Amino acid sequence: MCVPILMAVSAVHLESDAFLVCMNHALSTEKEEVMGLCIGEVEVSRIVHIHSVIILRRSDKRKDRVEISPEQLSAASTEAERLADMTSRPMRVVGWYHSHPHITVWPSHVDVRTQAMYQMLDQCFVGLIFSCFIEDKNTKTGRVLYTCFQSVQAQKGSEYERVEIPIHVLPREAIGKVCLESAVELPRILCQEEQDTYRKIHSLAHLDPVTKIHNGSVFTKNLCSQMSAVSGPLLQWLEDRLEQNQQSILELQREKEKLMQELAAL
Amino acid sequence: MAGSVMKNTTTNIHRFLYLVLFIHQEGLILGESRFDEQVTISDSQADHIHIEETYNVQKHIACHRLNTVIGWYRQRRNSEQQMTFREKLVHENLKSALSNPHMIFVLLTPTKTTPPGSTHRMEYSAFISRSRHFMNVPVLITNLGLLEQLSYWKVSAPCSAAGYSLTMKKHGSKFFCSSGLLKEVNEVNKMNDSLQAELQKTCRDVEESERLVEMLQTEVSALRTKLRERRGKRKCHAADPCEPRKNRLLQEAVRALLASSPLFHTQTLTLQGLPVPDHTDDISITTAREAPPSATNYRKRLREMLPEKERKRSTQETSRNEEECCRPAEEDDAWQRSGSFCRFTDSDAEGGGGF
Repeated sequence: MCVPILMAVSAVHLESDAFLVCMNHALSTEKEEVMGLCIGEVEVSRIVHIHSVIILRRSDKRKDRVEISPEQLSAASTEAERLADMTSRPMRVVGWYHSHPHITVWPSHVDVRTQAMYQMLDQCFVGLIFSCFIEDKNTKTGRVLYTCFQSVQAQKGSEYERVEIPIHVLPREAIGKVCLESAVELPRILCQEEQDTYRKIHSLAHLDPVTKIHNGSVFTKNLCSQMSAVSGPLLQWLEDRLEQNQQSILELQREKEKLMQELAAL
Repeated sequence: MAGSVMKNTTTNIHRFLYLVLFIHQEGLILGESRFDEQVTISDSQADHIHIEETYNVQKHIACHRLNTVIGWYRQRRNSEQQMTFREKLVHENLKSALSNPHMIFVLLTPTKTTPPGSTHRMEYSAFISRSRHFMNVPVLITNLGLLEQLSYWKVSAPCSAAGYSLTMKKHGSKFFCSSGLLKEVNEVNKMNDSLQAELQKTCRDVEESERLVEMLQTEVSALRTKLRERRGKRKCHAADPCEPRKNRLLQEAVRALLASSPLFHTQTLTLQGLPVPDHTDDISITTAREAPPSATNYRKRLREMLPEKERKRSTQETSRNEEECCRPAEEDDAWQRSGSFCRFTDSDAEGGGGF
């Protein structure tokens, strides 16, 4: 007989600007999994409300080794405190997300175990997975899936199994300051990773000039790829958004003046 | 031997833009379309012509102004990844209106995969039309993974040739700074730093504009509400503010429909339920037409309005009432003092009965 389990979390509400940052991060590369942390609050109704996300660097880039170090969790908590001060809301780290490029959206047994471990620290901690770069060869239709889950101990054995948690993306017209900052953090993190790798290589002894020139070219080439595929398009989107907002501001100011005149006439 | 022509069509879209299309329901996409032709000439085989059609989606407009339009997009929740009849018509009309035979249509369809809503799917594809026949083209989301990542060399291939070392020393200064760092690496780092600075600056500008838009939207909304309320109050005060509010429209409707019916006229009635004749103190001579209706006339008109059965009953009651009307005044007073508008029999009058 199956006994229904009452989870600590009934649903997840994800603000649309935070969703945009998550998806942008997930779609930044189809060669490896990316990850980040979710910042928000848990409401009395057992709903986890995610307001923003923090993009993280992966120290271990092996397949299916998406793990957050204690230092990263600590840094994220500090960031959550900063957000709490800024928004006057009780913000904290409420979950994590990672991507599954070219693979199924369902969490692997490693993911389920990792989630279970986080839940030991906080029973309201949730996991999000974004499956992307999936294509139906016949119809040439592309597909992106996302899911939300928690872990629960299996009824038989000591293993864990996933529990699906309903997730809703809350529409929001404006983009929050925190989400904008997170969005521009991605190219900075990518550049930092590349610079760290190059510095380690360049510091190796006994490399002849040709090797150094080659490595320099590799660094130049990789940085150019980042500028072309990440920074450039992001800058274009920001400029378009700015132009759109400036147009809206003009229209709203005109309408405001018109309404004030009408009120004065009454 | 006849040659062959192969056509390959792809749509490139940046991921941020792709995501934004899922937010706005309908709009136009701007960018660049390129057609590259590659001809392969071979002695043994016939010529092959390979045509590569590439559509680079760079910007979108959520249904606003037109500029370098290469296509349009639509987002439809919980629906099939197929163009509707309307979309096909719109596409053909846009092609002719903008004189662009190579327009693309990007369709995005988000759906809920599982009933509790824990998993969601977002599908997307691009369509082009050739001779009114619509076909799918693959969509590539540009990302770092598409660009080939070269790996660093961690060891050098050993070479002890004297000429090799001489060449390195001769040309080395063109590549390396005095500090030993590569000039190219320095320059590309500076360029990247400038781009990051631009990103940060634009991000700050966008953030300020977002807050300003939010603030203006709140102000405009408050002003609209205030104006609506003031207008509403003004309409009320247009009538006499001391008078109680009247439903004029209802009044007019009643007058129009029921004006001639005496049954719906306000009347003063006796204890017997008969209308009281309207006797004025004015003794000026009036003609029979102008004379106020008497109680008899009222009863007659009432009877005329009633159906047959009611009319007979009414006639009998009227005869009885006419007798009672002649009752002495002190008895009338007693009935009125009883406070009850009903017919009293002699026994009721003694017992003070009523309803």
